[in-house]
Amino acid sequence: MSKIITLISGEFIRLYKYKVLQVSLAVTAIWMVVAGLVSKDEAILISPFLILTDITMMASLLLAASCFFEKQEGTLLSTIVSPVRLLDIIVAKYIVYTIYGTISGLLVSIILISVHNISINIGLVLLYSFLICINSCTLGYIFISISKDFNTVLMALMGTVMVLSAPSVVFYLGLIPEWTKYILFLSPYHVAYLLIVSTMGSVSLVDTLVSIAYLIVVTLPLIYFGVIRRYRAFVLRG
Amino acid sequence: MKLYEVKNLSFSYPKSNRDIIANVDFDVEEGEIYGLLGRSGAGKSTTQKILIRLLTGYRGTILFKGTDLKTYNNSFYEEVGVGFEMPVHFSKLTGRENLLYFSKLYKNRADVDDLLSQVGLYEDRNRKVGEYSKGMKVRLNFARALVNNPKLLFLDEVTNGLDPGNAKNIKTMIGKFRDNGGTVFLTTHLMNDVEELCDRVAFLSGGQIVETDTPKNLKMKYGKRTIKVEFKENGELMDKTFPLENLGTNEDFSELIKNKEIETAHTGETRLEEIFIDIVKDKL
Repeated sequence: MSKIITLISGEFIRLYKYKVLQVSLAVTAIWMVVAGLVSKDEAILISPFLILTDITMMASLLLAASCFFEKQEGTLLSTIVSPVRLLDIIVAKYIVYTIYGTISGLLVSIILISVHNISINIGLVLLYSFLICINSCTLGYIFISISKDFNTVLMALMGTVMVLSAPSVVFYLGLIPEWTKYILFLSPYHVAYLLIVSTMGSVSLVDTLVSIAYLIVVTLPLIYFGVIRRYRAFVLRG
Repeated sequence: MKLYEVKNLSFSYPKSNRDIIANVDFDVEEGEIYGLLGRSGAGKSTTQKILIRLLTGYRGTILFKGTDLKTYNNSFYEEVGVGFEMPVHFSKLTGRENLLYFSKLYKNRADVDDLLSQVGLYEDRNRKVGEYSKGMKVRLNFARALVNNPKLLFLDEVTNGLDPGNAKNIKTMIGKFRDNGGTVFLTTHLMNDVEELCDRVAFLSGGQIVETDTPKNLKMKYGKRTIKVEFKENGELMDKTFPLENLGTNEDFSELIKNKEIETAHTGETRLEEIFIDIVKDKL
């Protein structure tokens, strides 16, 4: 346990020393300013997208950046020849970037509540942000294992978010029939969006529960097959 | 006592159909400095990566302290130190912060400041590693390998990029480590390091160990001991080399000593580098 704590504290210290913390806080601040500047109606419309984009990007991109930084500097290799299990390294990063994404989403939510008096269930934001962050970190891990460098990861993540979110956008614009909403549940981005919207109380309990279940069911095998079984190859890859 | 017993070790990388190491046998004794020499691509680093459990999927048997290496978990690294050839440090952290971070991953921790002093980096301990020179990073790598007071050290090109003074210091530290009971597995292409440090040396070529012995025995076996005499003839400096064997009965040598004005006479022996080139050339 103490080794995981060392790994976690080391990750946080490096986030600060490499100025990633400062830059990402600045990005969160920009989201907060945007959230504060728009009207209440606009805020209600965009807030789920703002929160979702913030937490998914924070979790997946920062995790990917951290992994590539460490790989580039050879420190991942130096860490795996210590009495630390590879799983400890993976878990430590999950914890750090889940905390990070969750806090980031929380900050944007607090601004929306305090400036626009929008009713958001903070407890649920924490819970769903946690779930979404785990899913986003998993995507981050998978993309680093199949990408040559961070730029490729960045492009792949952007592309994935666009592809997965496009059907939802088309649906909410009323361009596709109502029954297609059941197909949209196949998209992790869509269910994550529904979960964030549900913190504002406008999603049915059934849809919320299905979204939670789906996110967990999709993420768990991905963690095993896409992260745990592939991370070693990523670390050792030349 | 044998620390490692390696039998019929073969390994090929997943996307290759060629064994980079083929049926290799060797032992590493506790308390010795064992050198593995070879050209680039000979399989030195692959062998080291297998021995430190980074690469799995090998064929053959590797016993570590009499037990199959595959049965060890990560506690194996509690008493193993690994010095990589390339820098393995967080560039935005100081040298001291780097060593402290890595030391916290072990139960047994060396005094980080003492290590920094020993490798001559104490004055620069609070500078970011990104500002270090290549030689300083190499020394920090060596210190990193020692943060857990290991009993077994794996060193890859440990003096590569160091100035002669620092190289000598690191070699002295390695010698002391061995004298205190530690075992060292050294992979290098620098013959000076091997001659100065290794108790035994193995030549790796084409994925196979083609010779193993002490540097001294290798010289005895393959080397040519000679004496080179410089003399003046018609005002010009000339030289002649004679084999040391049966020198007393060598008429040419006796003639030269009697009749010429001798300037210098030096005995010489074949360098390990020449022996290595000869052996590897023969076995290719």
